[in-house]
Order: sequence, then structure tokens, then C-alpha cells
Amino acid sequence: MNSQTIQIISIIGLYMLGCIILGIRSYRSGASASDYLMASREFKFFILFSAVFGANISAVTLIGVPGTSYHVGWITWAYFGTAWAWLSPLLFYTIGNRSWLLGKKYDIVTISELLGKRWESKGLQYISAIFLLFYLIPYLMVGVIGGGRTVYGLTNGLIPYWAGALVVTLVVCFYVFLGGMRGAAWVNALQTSIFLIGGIVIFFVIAYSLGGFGFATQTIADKYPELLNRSNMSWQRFFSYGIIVSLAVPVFPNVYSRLLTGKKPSELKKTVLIYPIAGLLIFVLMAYAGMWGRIPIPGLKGAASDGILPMLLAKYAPAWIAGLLGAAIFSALMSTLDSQLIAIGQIFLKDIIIPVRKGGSLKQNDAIIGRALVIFFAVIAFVGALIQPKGIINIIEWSFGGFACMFFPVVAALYWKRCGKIAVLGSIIVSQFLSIALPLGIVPKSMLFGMLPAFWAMVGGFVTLFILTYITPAPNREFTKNFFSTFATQTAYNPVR
Amino acid sequence: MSKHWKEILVYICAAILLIIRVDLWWWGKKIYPLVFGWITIPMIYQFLIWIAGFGLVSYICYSLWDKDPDEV
Repeated sequence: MNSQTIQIISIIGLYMLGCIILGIRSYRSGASASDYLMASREFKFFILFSAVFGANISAVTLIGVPGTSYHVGWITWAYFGTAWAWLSPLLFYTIGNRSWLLGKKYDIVTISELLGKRWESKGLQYISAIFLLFYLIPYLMVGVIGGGRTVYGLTNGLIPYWAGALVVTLVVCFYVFLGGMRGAAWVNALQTSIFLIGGIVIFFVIAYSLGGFGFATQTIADKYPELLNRSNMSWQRFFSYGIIVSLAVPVFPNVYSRLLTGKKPSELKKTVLIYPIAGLLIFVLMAYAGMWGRIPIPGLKGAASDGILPMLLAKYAPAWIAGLLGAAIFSALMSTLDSQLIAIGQIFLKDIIIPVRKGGSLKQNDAIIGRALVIFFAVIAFVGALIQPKGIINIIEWSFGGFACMFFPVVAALYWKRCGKIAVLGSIIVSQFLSIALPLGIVPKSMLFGMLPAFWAMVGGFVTLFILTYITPAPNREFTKNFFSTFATQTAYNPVR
Repeated sequence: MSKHWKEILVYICAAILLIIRVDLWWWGKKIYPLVFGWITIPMIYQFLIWIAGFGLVSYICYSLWDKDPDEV
């Protein structure tokens, strides 16, 4: 093992140690299940922002975005940044603010719980929970896969893929097991700082190594003009993905539950305000770095470009910066992984176990079940990651589409008094059927008009919701009135418990 | 104008931004960096879309979102 590799491993090791220490410090002996799952809903701005942003920013950003921009160019930052970066935070207001008020009043934690309580339907709660888990579990693997590949790439294969994947799984398991939501959020604060600072450093190092922003971009214009003129990405894909990703993020189960963990709505408001800036920054940095990477390292095919950043840093940067990149990538992927593990625990406990229990409420020792679920699904993610399904972006896009289909039912739950449970159930079934069936090719590709399948799944879900709402009976007027009274200003900050 | 209609106006603006962010007129055309040797006109256009979106988020936060009782 040479000194470079030792330096890289040491920096990553220090980062992992930081995560473990924060995990230990967040441990509360005898903490209730509610504290384990939601940290007693007490986060202030910085921790809340880190928890939400960390849950949202995953391996896609530091691995998938440079890898994609290597093939399609700078448009990758706009692909995410000019829709998701501002529209998702805007929708945090639309969905998060009202959900926070309901969370206080009804102890709501998950999306399926929101739907179940809004329409007094356990069936609706079960079905939506099953769909959320269906997309969440494959998505869980992405972080573990990213960890394995990063370690392998940065150490030039000295540490095998499986060992990197195992370390990521064990460390995340450790701090989530001990600290639950609080432990994850504290670690997310460290992780968010690392990947934002790390992203800036990496961007400047790569630009400087390639002769500066101007020289690198001029070289791209001369040798690879398609990366500037965007001919490698269709406008239909750009348009439909912008909508899908923006609408999906507020209803990601791991993001949604974190929107409810703020101490007050104003903590979420501050998070919403800073979110677009941080979102644009990280995507711009990663997209340009990936595009410029085509100059010194041409010819990478398909998902091989996912490793462009480690390759560039191995070529140009001192070992400590390569180590910083490793820590930044680990931060991004682990912050999502921990949030997904907690979200799976929340869904199993709140939507599957508690509804069948007598009394139907959380018990003190449910935190033990939560911890057992974390370990069980971490093992599943690790085993799944060993299979290494193709391209990180592909798995993510499929999951994003599935989550995006829950957007209209959630908005209907929060805003549409006339909407009934049959309409929501129909919308979920139709959109999820399309979301699964369209990528399998049951409809000829030409009939998608170039849009991503999830776009049509969302449209199908919305049309179904609209039609069924007006041809099925309205929900119980008294219950609906009571439910919506939560949003009246005079009761909003003094919720009835 | 009531808060409800202001919110609807924000969502309409957001929908318009989502549509016009697809700058079809430049899509696939040969583009050279003009500003500082590395920034192209479509890049600036996309950045302006982000600025407009950020403006909507700021408007929501400062004008439409109810204040906490203890919020300044």
C-alpha cells in the first residue's frame, strides 16, 4: 500500500470516526419510540436543513451527475437545478407546512399515515405503504453501491467493492441504531458541510488542473461541441424529468418525515429559503467537473463515467483532496441511506404494525422494533448491492417516478375537501400501474412522445383522481371539516392534542 | 388579493417557468462560450430561470407563509 492510498484511507477513516462519535453522543438511554423515529420534533434550522438536504442529496449528485454530464454536458445542472432546486422547496411550503400542523395534531409521521387518517381508511394506508416500500428498498441499495464503488476507485482496487459497501452499511447502521432520527440528523449536519465544502474544493482543483474554466470549456467547444449544444439530451426528457423530480422530492418518504421534525414552522421556512442556493451550487459544481473530465479522460462508456471524479482526482489532485472527495461522496450517499433506513422503520411501525395492534398507538419499547428493522433492511441493502444492478441513475429515476405518483394524492389530502378515498385509491393504483408497466414497454415508446414514462404515470394518476372525485361520494362532511380546521391560523400553533 | 389567490398565482408562475425553461430555440444549435470564455447564453438563460424560481420561493417565505407567534 503506497502513501497516497494510506492518506486517502486515513481521511475517510477520520470522517467515519466523526459519524460514529456523533452517533454515540446522540444516544438517549430509554428514549421513546417517538423520540427514536422523529427526535421529538425538536429540530432547529441548521439541523433541519441538514437533515432534509442530506436526505435529498445522494450518490446521484456526486457520482451520477458528473457521470451523466460527462456524456451530455453542462445541461445536467439545469436538468436538476432549474426545476428541482427551487420547485421542491416551494412545494415544501405547499405540503410540508400543512403536514407539520397535522403531524402535531394527529402524530402523523408518514405519507401513508396522512392518507389513512385523512380518509379514515386503513386499506388506503396499507396500499400506499406497500407502494412506498416497493420503491424505497431498491433505492436503499444505491447508497451502498456508491460506497463500494468509491472505495474501489479511490484505492485503485486495493480495497474491494464489497468491503467498501460493507463499511458504509456498518457505519450507517451504527449511528442510526443508536441515535435514530436525532443521530442521523446530527451526522447529516457534518455530512452536509463536508459535501458542500468538498464539492467547492474539488471543482476548483479540477478547473485549475485543466487550465482554468475558460480553457477547459473552449476545449470542450472544439472537441466535444455536443456537450455544449445539448444534442445528447432530448428536450422532452429535460422537460419531463424536471417535473418528475421536483414533484417527487417533497413526497419521498425519507424527506417527507423530516419536514415534520422542525420545532416550529419557521424552522422549515428558513430551510426552504436556503435550499435553492445549496441545491444549485452543488449541481453546478458537479456538472462542470464531470463535463470537463471528458478532456483528460475520454472514451468512458455508459456507467463507467460514474467514476470520473475519483479518476480525475487520482490523476491531478494531492492524495488528501482525493480523500476529501471520498469523504464528500460518502457524506452524500450515507445521509440519504440513513434517512431511508429510518423511513422504512417508520412505515413498518406506523403503517403496518400499529394499525393492526389493539389501541393503535406507539409503545415505549417500539424503539426496539425500529432498531431491529434498521438492521434487517441494512442487511437487505448490502446483499442487494453485491448484485450491482446497472447504472445508479436508472434505479433512481425509476424510484423517483414511483414517488412522484404520490404527489397528487398528498396534495388532495391537504387541500381538496371534495376528494374521497375511492378517488385517491384509484389514482394511486392507476399511476403506480403505469409507473411500473410503461418502462416494461407495454405501450410502444413512440406513444410516450419522448417523455419519461413516469410523466404519463403522473398524468394518468391526476386524471383518475379528478374524474373519480366527481363521480364518487364526497367524504364525511363533519370529519373533513374537523380535519381542515387544523389549518385555521388561530388553532395552528396551539394544536389540540 | 387574498392569500389563496396569491398562492394560485405563484403556482401559475411556477408552471410557466417549468415550460419556458425548455429553451427549444437554442436546443441542439452550435453554441460557443461568450462570457469569461466559459459561459454560454443558454447557461445564462437557465440561471435566470433559477433566479425567477428563487424569487417565487422568497415571495412565499416572506409574504405568504404565516409567521410563528414569536417570529420577528
